[in-house]
Amino acid sequence: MRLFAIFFGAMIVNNILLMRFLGLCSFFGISNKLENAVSMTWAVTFVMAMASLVTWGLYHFLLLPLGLVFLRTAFFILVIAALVQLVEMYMKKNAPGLYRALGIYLPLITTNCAILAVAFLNIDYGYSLLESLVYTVGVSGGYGVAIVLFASLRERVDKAPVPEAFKGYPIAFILAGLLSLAFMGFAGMFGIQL
Amino acid sequence: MKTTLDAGLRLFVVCAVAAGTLALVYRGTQARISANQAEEKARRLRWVLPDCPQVEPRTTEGREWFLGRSEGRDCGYAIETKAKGYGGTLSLLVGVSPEGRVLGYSILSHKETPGLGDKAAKPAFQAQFKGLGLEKLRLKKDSPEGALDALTAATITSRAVTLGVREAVESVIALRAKDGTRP
Amino acid sequence: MKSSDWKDFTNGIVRENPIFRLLIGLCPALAVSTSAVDALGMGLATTFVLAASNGVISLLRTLIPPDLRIPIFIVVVSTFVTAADYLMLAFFPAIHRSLGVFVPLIVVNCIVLGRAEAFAYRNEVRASLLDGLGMGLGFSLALGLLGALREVFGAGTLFGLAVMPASYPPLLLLVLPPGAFLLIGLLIAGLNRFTRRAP
Repeated sequence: MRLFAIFFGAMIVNNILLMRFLGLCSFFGISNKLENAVSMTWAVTFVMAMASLVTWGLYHFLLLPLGLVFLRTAFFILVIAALVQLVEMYMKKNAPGLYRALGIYLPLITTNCAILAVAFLNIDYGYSLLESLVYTVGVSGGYGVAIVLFASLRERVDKAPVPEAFKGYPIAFILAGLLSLAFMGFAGMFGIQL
Repeated sequence: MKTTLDAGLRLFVVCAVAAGTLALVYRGTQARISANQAEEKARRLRWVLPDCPQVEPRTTEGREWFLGRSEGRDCGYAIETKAKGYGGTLSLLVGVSPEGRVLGYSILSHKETPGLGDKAAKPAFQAQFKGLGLEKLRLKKDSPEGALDALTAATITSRAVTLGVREAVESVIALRAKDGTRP
Repeated sequence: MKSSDWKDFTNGIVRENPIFRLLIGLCPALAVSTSAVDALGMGLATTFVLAASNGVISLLRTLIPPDLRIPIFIVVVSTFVTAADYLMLAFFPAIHRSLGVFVPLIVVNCIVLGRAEAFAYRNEVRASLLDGLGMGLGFSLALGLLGALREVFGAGTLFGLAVMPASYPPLLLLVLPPGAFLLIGLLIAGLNRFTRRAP
């Protein structure tokens, strides 16, 4: 039950993009085409899950016992950067198809604050390894739902007669606002415990 | 080979200097950070146990609580509780008198809607709780004996705070029985 | 002050304002701008990190091998971010509490690494410091503006003091997440209206 609450809390109620404002650069940057949004979601899910596992282990088995918690930020970001590089190299060699699909998104992910934020939040919320994993999957699910909905909206608005000053980013922000308003309807739905 | 070694050495030096700087900053600020936290806790305890000059931390069956003393007598108890609010978990520190009446509460953390649910921390809402015992600790709209008005547009938050405070009063009564202090 | 200094300094405030012009660093801009105090606190913390890391990277630029520059930038930036995190926790615990996880997240704020790569690695210390300060100030001003607007119209207060008449019903939407998106959309549209004349 607790896992269930963590999952839906992360995915819908506290949606990482629309409610917590994390990972917005890619949200606005990549969402002009639906297929890009879908590929980005897979890349984010993959890296986020790996990063959560590695950073959780590193924190609980290395930084905490050695009293080096103050190196947390530096360690986590370096680990994520290194992880992204490794994944990229591995994919290029062993899964060229997947690399062609996701490759260009991987470098962008290093500076996607959602990844680092999830690594921090796993620690701050005191989650166990299993809970961290469930939380991570919930977050990336929420990322996917939000960005796919948003990309579909933007594809339609592209063809609509938008006032000159609102063309491009401004109308995208307004759309995001409306989508965020819709997601607020879920607040309180589960009495979620975080 | 030589360049790799050289580059590695440079990276190592930068990392070592960075880690050293951080260790110094961490050492330097730690005393002040823990003093802040202690100060914050003392401030909250003074707020929920206003008439108790001394407060002693106690632990009974793994649960931490605080015994307030004044001139050699027990004058109040404080305990932390959690309740499910509208946006997430609310955690409260509640002060209870030896007669089992509410002395006050302080919200430690919450995820309620800004502008609506977070009014539960405001004095106007808090004041209603003062002096109430278990029988009256209900929202008026939930029970005929209840003495509490819910916040406008934040019934769920109001109910959560009420339940949290009730749980604190019940726990204090139970803990005192176990701790051996007279009710 | 030389005119080129002035240009380095003001570049980030107006011409390349990170939020309104370049649209980077949006996450903290939207997340912590619910009140003017939080917004300025975040802005100043970011300014400190930007100026300090720009300065140090510029100082070390001849010693940093090109292949290793990104990891070294990351180490330098995260050092200052962690320092800022602990200093805020020690001296401004209330602001630190409301900024939460966004303080350590300054490390992935694209502005910081972006300026290190695009400016500090190629310019001398003095110019880099000014560039960092200017960019940080531009970021702070944008954040402060968002924070002030959201607080005044969404809660009727500014820096915690009541500024609107008691009869003003606060427009709660503005302090909620959707309000942040809507407001920034409207501000950028307004900016476009006045700067980008229709052809």
